[in-house]
Amino acid sequence: MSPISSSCQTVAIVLAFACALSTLLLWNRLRGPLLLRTAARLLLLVTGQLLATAAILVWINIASGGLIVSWQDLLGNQSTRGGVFAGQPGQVPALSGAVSATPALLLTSGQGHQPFDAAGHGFRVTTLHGTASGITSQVYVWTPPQYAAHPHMRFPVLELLHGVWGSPQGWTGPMNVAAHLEAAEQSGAVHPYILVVPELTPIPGHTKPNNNEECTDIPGDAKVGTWLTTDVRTMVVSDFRAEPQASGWGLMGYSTGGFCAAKLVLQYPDLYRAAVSLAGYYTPDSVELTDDPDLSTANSPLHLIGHTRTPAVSLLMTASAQDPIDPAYEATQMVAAAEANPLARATEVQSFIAPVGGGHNQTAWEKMLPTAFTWLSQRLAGPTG
Amino acid sequence: MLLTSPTLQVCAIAAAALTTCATLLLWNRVRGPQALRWMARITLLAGSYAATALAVLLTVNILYGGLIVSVDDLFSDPHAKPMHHGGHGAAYQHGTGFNGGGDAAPPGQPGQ
Repeated sequence: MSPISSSCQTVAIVLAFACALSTLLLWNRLRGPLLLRTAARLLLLVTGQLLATAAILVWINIASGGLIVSWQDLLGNQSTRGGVFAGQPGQVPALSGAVSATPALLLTSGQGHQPFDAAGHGFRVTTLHGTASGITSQVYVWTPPQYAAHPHMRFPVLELLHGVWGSPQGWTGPMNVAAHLEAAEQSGAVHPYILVVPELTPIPGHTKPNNNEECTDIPGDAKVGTWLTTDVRTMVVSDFRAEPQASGWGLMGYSTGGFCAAKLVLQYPDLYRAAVSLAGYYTPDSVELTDDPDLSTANSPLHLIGHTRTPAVSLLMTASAQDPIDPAYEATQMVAAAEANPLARATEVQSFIAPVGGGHNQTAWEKMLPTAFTWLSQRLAGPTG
Repeated sequence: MLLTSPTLQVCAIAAAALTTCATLLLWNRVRGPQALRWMARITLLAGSYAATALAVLLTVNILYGGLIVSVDDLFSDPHAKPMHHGGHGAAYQHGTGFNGGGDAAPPGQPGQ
């Protein structure tokens, strides 16, 4: 019985009602000392509460298109964290637990942004006033331990894009991205990256799957593309010892963030050399774009790779065959479109589809991180200086 | 209001605990006709279920990295036409025709 089956939904609802009814009928029929009766009543009450909550959670999961498709998604354990991809170089050791918060650089001021605050999981957060886009929103930054240890080196950067609905904390928390990066670095095949996680939906009210900008400059409206590229990059390069060249910048995103990573690497080859899309999609979804056919095609990775001359960048698309929301065939479609387009020869387009990669959630995507870090490190320059 | 705030989470958990205790204490203290007493009990029960569900949902939202950050996110219309395309009116007209009259919004597919 899978978590998205209707039998699971039925069982959850029936159990919740049965428990509620039992509570009503049995409350004054329980026998024994007062303490025992009270304990039994409390048990009935709490069981009913939890069953009702479970029924609601199952409903939300199904109504959302199936975020969690297997019990493994839900109970994903440490042993699965090595990655779902077989035959990859650089075996990643087991995680040793929480990331040490490394206060490598506690900026007190900077150009156009507020001081950084501690944000948990070793990240720090600031509110950035983007001068190019006019957008003010949050950016999370994590620096590797090597950053403090080598005060004269410049470090490559991974810009991480979250899904919609979602927030940057989706990367810092449930994805365990800093812990995975530190574990992967011990293999020696992965660079110590600065991690940068900007808000993908900085405009209030534009925060849903069908009304966000999908990382695009919308004419006459918000310049979210400029925010994510120019503004975030300017802040990171000026306030951190970050590589200024495209060869030191990679993109990675999940779901809508995956769409954005694929799109931005094709549109801004001067800024990024490589991108990974974890369970992304490749044609615009939001009315902000689909309302305007020209805007829609200009920002469709599938259109760009299939019908335009594309730059010398690399794109890896990972997907799970079990994912019902952003199905794996979209990645296959991208690879086929790239192969059929002679103008796309310069672009490296790869896909990896995990047969049992889990549903549309962070437990599934974090298993793809070790491979993604290795793949990116084969294409991006390491620290210099 | 931020749905990811720890204060809200603590309040929701406290409310769940409080409604549970209230149910235990008040169950047999309600006075009045039989029908009224059953109504009161069902209300107590449903209230404690709702409070617990809310506390768990808020916690799950936070654990998943703040899927839904503000209350506005939750209640704004996902199918609302963007009202700010002032800058490219012609393109918007084109888009309206493309969608067949402008009433038909794309089907909802949350969770992307």
